[in-house]
Amino acid sequence: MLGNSEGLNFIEQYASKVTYYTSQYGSVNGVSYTANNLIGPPSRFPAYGDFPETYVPRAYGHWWKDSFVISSCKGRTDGLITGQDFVDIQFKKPVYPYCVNVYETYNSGCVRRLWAGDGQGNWKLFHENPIKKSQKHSQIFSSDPHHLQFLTSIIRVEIDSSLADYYPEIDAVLLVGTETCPPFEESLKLSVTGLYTKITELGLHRLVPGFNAIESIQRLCFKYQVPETSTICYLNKLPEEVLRIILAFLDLHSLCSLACVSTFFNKISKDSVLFTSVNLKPYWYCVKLSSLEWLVARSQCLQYLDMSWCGNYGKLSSADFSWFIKQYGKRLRILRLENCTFLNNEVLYWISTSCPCLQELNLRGCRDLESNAFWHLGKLHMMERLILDSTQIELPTLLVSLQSMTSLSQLSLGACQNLALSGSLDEIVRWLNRYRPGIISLDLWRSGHLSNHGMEFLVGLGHLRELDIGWCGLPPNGNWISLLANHCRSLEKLFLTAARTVKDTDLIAIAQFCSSLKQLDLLGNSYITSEGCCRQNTKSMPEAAVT
Amino acid sequence: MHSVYGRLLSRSIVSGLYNCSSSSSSGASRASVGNTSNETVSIKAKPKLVSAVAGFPKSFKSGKVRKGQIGDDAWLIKNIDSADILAVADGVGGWRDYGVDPSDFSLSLLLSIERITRVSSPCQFRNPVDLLSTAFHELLHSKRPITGSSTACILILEHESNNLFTVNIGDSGFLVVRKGRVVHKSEEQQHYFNTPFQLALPPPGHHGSALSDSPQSASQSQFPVQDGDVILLATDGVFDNVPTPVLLAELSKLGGVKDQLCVQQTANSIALMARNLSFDGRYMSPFAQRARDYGIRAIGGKPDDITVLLATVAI
Repeated sequence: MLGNSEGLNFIEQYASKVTYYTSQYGSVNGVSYTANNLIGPPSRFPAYGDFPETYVPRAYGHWWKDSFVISSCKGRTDGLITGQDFVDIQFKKPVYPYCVNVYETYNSGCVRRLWAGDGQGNWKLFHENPIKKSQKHSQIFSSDPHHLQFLTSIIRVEIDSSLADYYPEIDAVLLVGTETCPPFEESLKLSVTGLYTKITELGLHRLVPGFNAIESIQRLCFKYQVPETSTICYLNKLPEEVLRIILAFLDLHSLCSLACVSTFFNKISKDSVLFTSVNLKPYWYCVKLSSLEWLVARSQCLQYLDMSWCGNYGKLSSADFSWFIKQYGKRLRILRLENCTFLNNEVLYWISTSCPCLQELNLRGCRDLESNAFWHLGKLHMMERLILDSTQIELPTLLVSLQSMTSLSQLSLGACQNLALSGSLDEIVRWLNRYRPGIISLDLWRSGHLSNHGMEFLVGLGHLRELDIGWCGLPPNGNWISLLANHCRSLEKLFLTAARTVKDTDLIAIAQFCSSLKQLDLLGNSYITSEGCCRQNTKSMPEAAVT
Repeated sequence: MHSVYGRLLSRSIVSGLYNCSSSSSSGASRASVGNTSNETVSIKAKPKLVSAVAGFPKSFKSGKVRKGQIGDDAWLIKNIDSADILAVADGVGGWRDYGVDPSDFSLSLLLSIERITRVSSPCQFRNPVDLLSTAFHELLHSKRPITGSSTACILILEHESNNLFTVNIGDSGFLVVRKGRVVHKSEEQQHYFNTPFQLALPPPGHHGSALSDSPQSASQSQFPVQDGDVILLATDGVFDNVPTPVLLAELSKLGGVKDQLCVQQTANSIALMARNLSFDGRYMSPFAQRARDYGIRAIGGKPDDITVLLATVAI
């Protein structure tokens, strides 16, 4: 209990539980770099450095946005840019929050927003921070103290590391609040007459000789008055097609506001052509069944839908979403449902039957989705980009589903625990080599071990442009990295984090053969020397970024 | 020579004093369970280990003496709410020839154990082999590559049940003495002479040739402890040089005394004894005895890093 202030008792609490996280750098059963490190008081703060006792999200920087696959299909631009990751932290006692401190120990400055939640899916924005470059010292990111009249038991920390040089790391989160509701603050807004009365009461009008109170107030209040214009709206005269092109630049929020202007704009803003691509991720905090009902009237031409982060904590049920997708999924080509907890067997069944044209399906981070649900993926024949990071997918389900996806070009299986436990990577790579040798992007981060056989098949995938085999145990002997560089010459992104077997000769091979390489990660390899790195840098490898 | 011994003794005493201040802060608490007007007050005593550490590195010049490390050995004493933990790990010195620092692995293993005990729930202590296994696999997740190998011996005194859970892999070991008699002694695990079982992470080129045992091959046991029991946990530098009867005599002298300073003094004397005997060229040490059993004509002590962790149980 902290001190008293106006009769209120302030309580300080550290996190007691992590209810949800989008991604973490550590492995699921480990203790290094995992989300559970946020529980309790800080372990390493105020020290600055890369410590395993902190929470680290999986991604940082602009690499992920720069991936050529993602950038090739953008939705409508939206005003509110969300961060890449969030963590939901629960505190033992629900309080009315006053201040939140986030203890950052590495690359500070990546906390973008703080949300206060009541655990039932209602959220209020507690603090927003503009994105800035990460700083090289540990800091307590402290929100501006202001008392929120919202009983909070969960704090969501939204992290945006797009300007960070390396992974941001967070040690702990402290919530300061009161158990009793703060008194409602009186509004300080006064009318013009009220303002004039207050000025004369305080005698301010006598301060400056010749000061005319009424004139100055009028000038102040009506400074921004819009000059009179005619009541004819010329926008009405424009042909509808031109109007549609103009309105296509508006974000969702403005489009909805436009609908309230007049009946003409109400009609035009409901046009389905404007809703071919809908991104509800920036509005995750208010998406519920009524949002889907609103969307229904406009979804005849829906082709790209992003509902990542939406509907958690019971705000959206699987039945609601199934109902929606049954009717409006037939033209859907891209569907992104990252970190959605309402997904289950039923939803995936309806997605697979109602969206025959689906080319991209993103289910990253849907940890609660049972492994049986993935059997339905086999019906999606047009699939080109399948993203299943951090899911419970198993090997037999995966292989059967992939059979029908004849034009598969991207496969993301990072941090899939079931695959790691069953040692399936060799089999997956063998299958890809045999049936989908044209694959362009492959992500196997932390999903198991590759033996010599697996590496042999991996090397045969000559069209690869992006490859992530970080934290996969690579075979200790053999020249696999050099062979890989030799055969996959169009590689643009190569992550060999903790491969432990990379040598200088491999670096030379990479520099020699992979001339279009843009991103290279060599963390955790002890056999490379700075000499090798320098020699590699002097070769012709423009735009390469090396960690 | 004396000044060197003096310096090291004082260093080991300092480390003991450090220990004293950290362990006295978590004093033996007598918690009284809440009562209604009809029930009597019941008092549950929480057991505590009064512990001390002492030791010498094999070589003064190259061996480090820091908190948690003595030469290539590493030690850990940790007191948390639900348990007291003692652990030692002996880094295998042979890796020095391959350019690997042997003390890195042993220290990292014990730091890993410390981190896991901080976040794990009390029931996980009942299965110390799993704890060892998790700590070992956690080393693979370190960004900096950790290579080398070591033995390990972990003792966990669980407060709720007054039971001591032990796990041992290799030739470090422990001794429990009660009222002048040895009640528990760990068994050494060796493949062949002077080659103990060891947890290993060989560097990439040597996976086939290095000896590497799985944590599942460790031996574990559990038994209740009583007030006044003396527990000695040490690396092979002690057991190879000081015969068990001598150790028994020293520990019995301590009796059930729970004074931190007495425990520290006994630990220091055992360490000094082991040190002196290890450099004695004509003494029939247990190490030499065993060598003769294998047909090797050896004599004298075995110079090695010496780490002694001594604790008395106070309930």
